[in-house]
Amino acid sequence: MISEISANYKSEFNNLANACLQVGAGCVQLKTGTRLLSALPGQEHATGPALEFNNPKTGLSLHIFGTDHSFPKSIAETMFDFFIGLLAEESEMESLTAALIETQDRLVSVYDLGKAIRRIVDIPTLLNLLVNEVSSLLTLTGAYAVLQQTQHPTVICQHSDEPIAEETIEDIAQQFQADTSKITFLAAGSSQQGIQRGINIPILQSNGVFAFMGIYSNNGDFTSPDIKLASALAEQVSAQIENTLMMQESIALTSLETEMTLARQVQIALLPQTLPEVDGLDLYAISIPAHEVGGDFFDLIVVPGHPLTFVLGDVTGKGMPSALLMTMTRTVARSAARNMPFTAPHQLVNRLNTDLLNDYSSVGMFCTSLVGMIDPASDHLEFSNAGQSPVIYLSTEAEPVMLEAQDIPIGIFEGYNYGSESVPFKPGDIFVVASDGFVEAHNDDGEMFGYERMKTVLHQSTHMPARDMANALFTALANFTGNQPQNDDRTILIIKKNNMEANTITIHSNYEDVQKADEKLRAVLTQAQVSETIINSCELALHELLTNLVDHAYHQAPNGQIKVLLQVDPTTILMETRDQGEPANVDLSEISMPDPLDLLEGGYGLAIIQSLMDELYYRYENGQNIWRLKIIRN
Amino acid sequence: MELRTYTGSSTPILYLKGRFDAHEVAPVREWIKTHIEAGQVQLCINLAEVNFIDSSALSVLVQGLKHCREKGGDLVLCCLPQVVRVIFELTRLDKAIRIFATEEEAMQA
Repeated sequence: MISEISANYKSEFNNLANACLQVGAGCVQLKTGTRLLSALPGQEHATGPALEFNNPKTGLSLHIFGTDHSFPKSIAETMFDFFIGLLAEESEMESLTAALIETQDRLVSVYDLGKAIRRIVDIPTLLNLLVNEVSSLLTLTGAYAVLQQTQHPTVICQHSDEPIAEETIEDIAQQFQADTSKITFLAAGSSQQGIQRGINIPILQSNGVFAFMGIYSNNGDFTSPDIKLASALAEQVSAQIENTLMMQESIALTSLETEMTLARQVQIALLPQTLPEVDGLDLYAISIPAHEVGGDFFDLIVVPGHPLTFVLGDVTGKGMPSALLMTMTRTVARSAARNMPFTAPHQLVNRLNTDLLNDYSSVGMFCTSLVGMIDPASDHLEFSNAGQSPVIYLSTEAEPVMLEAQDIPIGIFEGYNYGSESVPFKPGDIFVVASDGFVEAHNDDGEMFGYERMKTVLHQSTHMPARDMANALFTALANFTGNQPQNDDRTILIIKKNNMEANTITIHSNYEDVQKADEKLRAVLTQAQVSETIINSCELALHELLTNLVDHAYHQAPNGQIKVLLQVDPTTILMETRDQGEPANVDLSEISMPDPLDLLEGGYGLAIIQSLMDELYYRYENGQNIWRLKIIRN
Repeated sequence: MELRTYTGSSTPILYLKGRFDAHEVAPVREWIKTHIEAGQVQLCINLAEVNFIDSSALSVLVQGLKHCREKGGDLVLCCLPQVVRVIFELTRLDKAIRIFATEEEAMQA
């Protein structure tokens, strides 16, 4: 520094030295300690008495040789003051530069830390990095980090050559937890375990102080820029902790959601997607899983030459385990029903119990189920009930009854001997089996839907097709439960024995066959003693529909098949058609009768049907157009 | 369906009997077409013995009526039984087609 001055200010030294020489000095020298910085003229002239000025602080000295007391000292003083002044300015410059460099270093370190932690999603690692970074940037005795949002503060790390006891840190943390405004835990001048000054730098999250970093010093105070730097670094880490927490939360949600979705998909995928069509029977089954899936299942197994086998079951519990056991049970039931020559339902239930007992008992679960068999030609329905409820039998000849389970659920006792029961099953009789998700549904007052309500709703809808009966039940249930969420799967299977074989008319897609269908309809309705007006309306409506199917579903190709199902009840007449023609592109709510004055040559068919019938309904399902016409007889 | 025609007057009359629907409309369409082509554009169809009629039949009647009217004539109907009248009322085509209770009135139209 000083030598730089002598080099940088050589000309100033020479000018001043020359002035001294002119007033009688022999030689002028500038020294630091004993080291010669500058001299004029040469060293050899440094003889005779000397005037000497010293500045002890800098060690600078000025020597003027060959002078006596008459030498004007003021010149020498001015000269010396000039160099002292220079030195002071240079020193200040240097410290300012150093401060600037340090500030820049600190800014860079804040930035670097931010960059370095962007990929770190582990909170202790982040806190550790913060403590290390602060320790290397600030002059301190030690630093540590504490997780605050736990029941008990948790010390994550401490970085110090003279660490303080963990209990002490915990005390500090508890005090800080009690009052987060007190960031200073040791005021300057006080002392604890030799620590003179300690500061808590909070790491904030939306819900308050998440963690904090403590910095402490045994020799001196922290400056305001120190605290600012530590806070800036803490803020960087805080932002990354926020990202980490959000990510952890979303991962947790996703994995939970995934399990739910999977269980639900497994359950839905394994249930029959289409229902078999069995002559003489009207079948309908549906399972509506709750958000948190349970273990409901149903199946309808048709093996040519054998009775229809149907199964409905409910595995205890919810979630993936239930869904998996349900899958196994359904698979065993299906393959057993297909491949084994069972003649009675209880044989299948015994089989299920034998095959699945270990799987159920090892996890402490079981499965209620009902297995039924029905031969449309027979006038009985056989079933074996292993704890399934409710089972409702609606006969045309008696009041509806709840059939109580006679046997225990599957998966409880090894070698349990299940039995079969039988009920008459004549045209118009209905057999309903469901899971407990219906009767146990609650309304806003905590009241259960219950067996009686379910029985009543079903009884009131016996005139409807099986599907409509199920829908009526779901509607009644929805009205009852109001805003209450569905807590359990709701699975129902309805089997109805059709009234008469003559109720199905099959024709080909041509106008001649349409006339045949008209005739047959008239015959059936006449036999059922339907009034002439209603018969005329039904005939015209069905005729218009069938003509439409010939024209638009089959485009007059004469050999397409159209099936007409008729259901005549004391109160309603239902006509349903099924065909495999082109789906109808029609919005039934848009249909209106053309303006007669427009004299249109078409567009009357559906409008005529709609004005004749009480209900006109269309859906396309499994490659089939399904049209349904309904008229109320009064 | 049976068809019988009477062409003794200036207005040819077609008598239909039985079902008048999609399966049966072709000969009626043909009868109308033949007369229009022959310049006879005032026609009458007697539906007294029809026991069923559908929208395909209406379509043929409306088409024939429009052709007749374009040529300055008309196609009128008479003697509708109740079961036939219903569909004209449903479609309100009784507002657009001239329908007479008796053949005499129809002939004077």
